[in-house]
Amino acid sequence: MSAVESYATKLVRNRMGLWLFVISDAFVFVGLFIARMVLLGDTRPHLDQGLGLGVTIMLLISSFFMNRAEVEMAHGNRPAFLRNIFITMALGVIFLVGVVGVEWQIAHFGPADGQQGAVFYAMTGFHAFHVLTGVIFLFIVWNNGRRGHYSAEKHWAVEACAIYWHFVDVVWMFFYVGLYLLGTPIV
Amino acid sequence: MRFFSTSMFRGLIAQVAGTVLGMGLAMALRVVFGLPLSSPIEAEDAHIREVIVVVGVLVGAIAFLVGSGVFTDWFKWARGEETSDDHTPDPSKPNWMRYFSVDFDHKVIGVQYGVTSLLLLLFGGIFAMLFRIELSGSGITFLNSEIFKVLLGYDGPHLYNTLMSLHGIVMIAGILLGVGAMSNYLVPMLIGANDMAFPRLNAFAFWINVPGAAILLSSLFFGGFDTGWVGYPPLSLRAPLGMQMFLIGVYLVGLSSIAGSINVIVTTLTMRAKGMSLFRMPIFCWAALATALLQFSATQLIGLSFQLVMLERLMGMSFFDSLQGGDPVLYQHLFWFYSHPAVYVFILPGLGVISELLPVFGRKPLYGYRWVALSSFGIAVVSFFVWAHHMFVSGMSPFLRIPFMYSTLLVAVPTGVKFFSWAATIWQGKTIFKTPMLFALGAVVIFLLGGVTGPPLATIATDLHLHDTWFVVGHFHDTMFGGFIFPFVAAIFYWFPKMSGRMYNEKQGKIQFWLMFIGFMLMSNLQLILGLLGMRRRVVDFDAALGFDTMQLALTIGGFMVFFGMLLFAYNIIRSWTKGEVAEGNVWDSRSPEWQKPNPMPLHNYEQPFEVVGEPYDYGLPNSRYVNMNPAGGSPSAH
Amino acid sequence: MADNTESRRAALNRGVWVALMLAVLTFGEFLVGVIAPPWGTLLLVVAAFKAFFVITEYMHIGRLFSSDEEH
Repeated sequence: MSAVESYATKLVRNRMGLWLFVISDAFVFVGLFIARMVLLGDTRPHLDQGLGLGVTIMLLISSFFMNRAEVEMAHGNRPAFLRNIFITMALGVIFLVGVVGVEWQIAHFGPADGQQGAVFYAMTGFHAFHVLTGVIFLFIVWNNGRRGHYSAEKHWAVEACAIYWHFVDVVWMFFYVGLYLLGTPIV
Repeated sequence: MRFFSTSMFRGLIAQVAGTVLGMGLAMALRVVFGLPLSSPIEAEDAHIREVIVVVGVLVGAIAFLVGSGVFTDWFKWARGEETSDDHTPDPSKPNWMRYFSVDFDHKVIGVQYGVTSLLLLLFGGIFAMLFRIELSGSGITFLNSEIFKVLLGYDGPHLYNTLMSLHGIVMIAGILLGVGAMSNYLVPMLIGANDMAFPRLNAFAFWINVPGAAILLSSLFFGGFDTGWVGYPPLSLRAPLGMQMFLIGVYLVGLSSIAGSINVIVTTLTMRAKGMSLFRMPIFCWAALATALLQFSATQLIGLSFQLVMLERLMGMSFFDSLQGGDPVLYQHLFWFYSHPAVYVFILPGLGVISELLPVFGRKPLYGYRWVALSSFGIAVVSFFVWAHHMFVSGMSPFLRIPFMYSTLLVAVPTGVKFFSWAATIWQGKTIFKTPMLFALGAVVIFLLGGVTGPPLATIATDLHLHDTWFVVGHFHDTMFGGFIFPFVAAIFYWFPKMSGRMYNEKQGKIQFWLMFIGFMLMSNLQLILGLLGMRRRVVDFDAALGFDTMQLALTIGGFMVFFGMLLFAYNIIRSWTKGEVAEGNVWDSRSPEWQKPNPMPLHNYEQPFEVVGEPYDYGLPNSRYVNMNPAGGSPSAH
Repeated sequence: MADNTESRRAALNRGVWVALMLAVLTFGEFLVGVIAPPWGTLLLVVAAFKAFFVITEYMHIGRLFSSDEEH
């Protein structure tokens, strides 16, 4: 084994490592979902449906643009890559504002108000923290891409960022159902 | 005064500064948002103080990592700078400095893990000895001494509870670090890699333990906590501030466990030497892989449950307090979903070491290699489905108890495979009774005791009687000593020449073994007997009329024998590190690749990659080889 | 399995197709969740479908198991 290993060898390892991290992180969210099922059962917190659907659409569309950004980078199209990743980042920020800035303020209950407060703020809080780290990751990748890093052959950071961002999206798919749709609302 | 330029020192300074800064930040934020900084009501005042201290401690932990330089390369990546993959140390600095600095060499990190582990085990041992003195007779005497009140601000039963809880959790942290030590030091060396897959992640995984351990131990000075190591709510919601230190400390150690395990999995799966198929891996690597699979998945659940308790304490979010609609049994489910697999995390590497050592010293092939390799996985898989056996009396649905009883008893099958393999391996061997072998054999005997005391606890009918008695304590100490402590000591002795280039003192090693073995037998058997007679666990005192005084005194003596054995061990390895006899070549006549290299192990393990040409444990078979160290130009291998 | 060997146009189109699927499924979920709350299991199944699309098409989990990649 040579002292400096090839990019391809490292790529295989990096992918495996990141996926293991994603699976590991998923256990946290599964645990939160189980806590939700135990504490709320077939009821759900009383929330604004329009806002819920809105932020969900924002996050799903951001995943679409993240995918475009990655495809463009894989084909060496830097301007399109930068444009798409910037849109992704903006949509992520809108999601954060929607959840933390609006939903948390207009909800009829605070974190200390019974199980629904506990479950709602814990689930959205843990998820929002991941969105925040994802936005920071996106910013780093966007900033480095702007300064000429990454190429069609070598862009592991972009791929990693995409996988992480889509993972955050996948988590929300279940949390949206768990928080907004499952069961009957608590009045 | 080069110590002041090491990562350790800079990190600790940064942690102290960060803690102060974080507390200031929390106070400033409270002022900005118009929240009070103190309150005339004592409970509210304590709560405000708790919020401020927790923010400070968290900022302090991050400051440690920044200050020690663990994040430096990652910050460079974020800024788009390249970093070198060549980790050759600076020759102008003395070698010892590497062990106190951020270093990416897996051998250095392994030793760092090991030393930190032994330090934590020492702390855990001191806590145990303190409450063992108290328990050696009926009536509360020793823990009511004036000195504790002066030093800590509390004494008596609350001190007992704190010491008992800290003994448990500090030992567990020490064991997790010991597991990290073995995985990090051995796995790359045994599979023929020059380092772990992610060296920086590896350094991070070690260094986060240092602030974690410091915070965990600091709970002693924050009023302690009285929940035992399990931290069940609602008691943990009402415990003093020390509880938060416990939660944060364990959370950080858990993060280390997750990061380290991802590294072990990727390393084992992608970096094996040429010709080393999975079924030609050294058996320890199988154990490390199974352990890592448990760690990287289940650990998140204890992290989650502890964070939820923290949130409930800080913000009043009612997850677990049934007065406000929470569910305390939910905590137990989340907690044991990790903490049961965790005990297999503790023992699997140790069992791997036993399987590794018995063939070397018995000079015979390992019996049933494939079965032993897969039994580690069997244990790992089954361990995910047994957690609720800790909760037979918790008030969960009674019908759940039956399936959990059966799944728990099922653990005996893969564990039994290992026992039969060990027995068949040493059967009629030409055994060499060196210290590592003594410890491996001692581990088999002790773990057998742990094994046979398990089924009475797994069976519902008997568990209802034995739950929360010293029988549980005895069973658990049997499994931990047989599954971790004895194999860990064996592993350190066995690979000591690889680490230091010198031999340990054989005579002291043998004295240590007999001291610990006899002391432990005394201790654990008395724990089991007292439990059967009805001694409750986690109580500071017992009625003199029960007639337990003599047995408790003997138990304390046994405990001290184990403690002094470990002190002798520390003396032995510290002294031998610089003054021991120089160990040259293959001291154990092992077939494993690392022993074909000089002692201590060269900086880059294998400058020239080797090739695996045979089975790993065919000791005593004529003309068989495991590795060809010189595949390019060497003599043709004898098949 | 999507990988870099397919043309840029094909990869982008695949992304659009997945996004449309997600949009339809999410809207369906929303309707079911608001109109007929007892159908909890169905909602989780649909969410699992959406997750499956994202994991295979956007996160390219298949790349994890392919060693001979064009990079």
